[in-house]
Amino acid sequence: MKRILFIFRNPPYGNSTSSEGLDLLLGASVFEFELSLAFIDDGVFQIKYNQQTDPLGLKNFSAILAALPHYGIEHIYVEQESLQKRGLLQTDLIIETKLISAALLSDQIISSDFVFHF
Amino acid sequence: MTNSGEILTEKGYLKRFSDWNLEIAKMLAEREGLVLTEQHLEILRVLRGFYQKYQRTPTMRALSKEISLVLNAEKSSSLYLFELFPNGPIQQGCKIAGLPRPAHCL
Amino acid sequence: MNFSLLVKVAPFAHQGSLTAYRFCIAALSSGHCILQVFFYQDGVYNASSLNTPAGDEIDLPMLWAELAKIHGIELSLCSASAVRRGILDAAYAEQFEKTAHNLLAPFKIASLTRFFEVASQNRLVVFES
Repeated sequence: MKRILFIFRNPPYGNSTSSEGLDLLLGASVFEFELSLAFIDDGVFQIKYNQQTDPLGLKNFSAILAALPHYGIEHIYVEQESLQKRGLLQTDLIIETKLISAALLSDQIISSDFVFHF
Repeated sequence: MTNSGEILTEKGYLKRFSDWNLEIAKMLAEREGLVLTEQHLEILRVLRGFYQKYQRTPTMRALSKEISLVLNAEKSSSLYLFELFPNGPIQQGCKIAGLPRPAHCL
Repeated sequence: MNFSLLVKVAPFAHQGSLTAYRFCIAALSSGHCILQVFFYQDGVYNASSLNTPAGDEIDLPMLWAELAKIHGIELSLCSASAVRRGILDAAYAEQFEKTAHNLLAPFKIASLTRFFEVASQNRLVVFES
């Protein structure tokens, strides 16, 4: 089974990078791949609780991240230092994540067949 | 009965998610050549619930999972869902449930 | 070796799509195969028939089209990326009742499913910003 890792490092809004990264991830989910997702740097904001996009007239595209297990995506990582630097805890996030160090993320990258960066 | 031209898009999607009600559901089902039953409504409510929570039209896989969580496993099977919505539970079901046209055809 | 490419950036605005094109040329002349070039996000702008570069600038959409015709390379676009950015084929233009279509042949509007079908079976190279 092909192992595909998605690395999300951009904040949810400001440009379409994160939203289109998510579309690609969900597109991959219809196949029999072993999918993993890692949030690092500003990417951690995508899964931060209590996002309110209505005042901006924007669709809250990251709401679907709370349903990733529905799509068979179970390996969801958040990089420890990225959270700490932003004053966030795992309890501030909308999904259950596994804490990962930068070094372990490197291992994940090496052991994946494909890596997508968004 | 509301003029369907006002509340539907050119392609027959409900313009406003919040406009949906039983009457509109029946009208949308009729346009799809279906007679709405309680079994249909049960699934439509799950679809609407999914969209409301997650702001996205589900894929078959995600819908099956949601149905098995909210209703039961039997009703989450492709066979059951395609019997209710012959043109596809996602394509047809989402339209009747008043969800917006999705961005992607995967 | 069989390659599949993913291009995420627009021509002119980013060098990435030119690099992707040059990668194809290099790979093909070394005897490799390019099976598919898939255009995602701003990459879809590589497929517009309306791009009009200056007289002394390269015309990347045309270069892609010529390369694809000679070597039988599949040039596919993500449908959602394309329609959001106004790159439409005749069918989509009619479906959405738009005044024109601008997809350059032989680019095709396809799906992410198509991308993964090909990419997952081959060596993938991604061109992004």
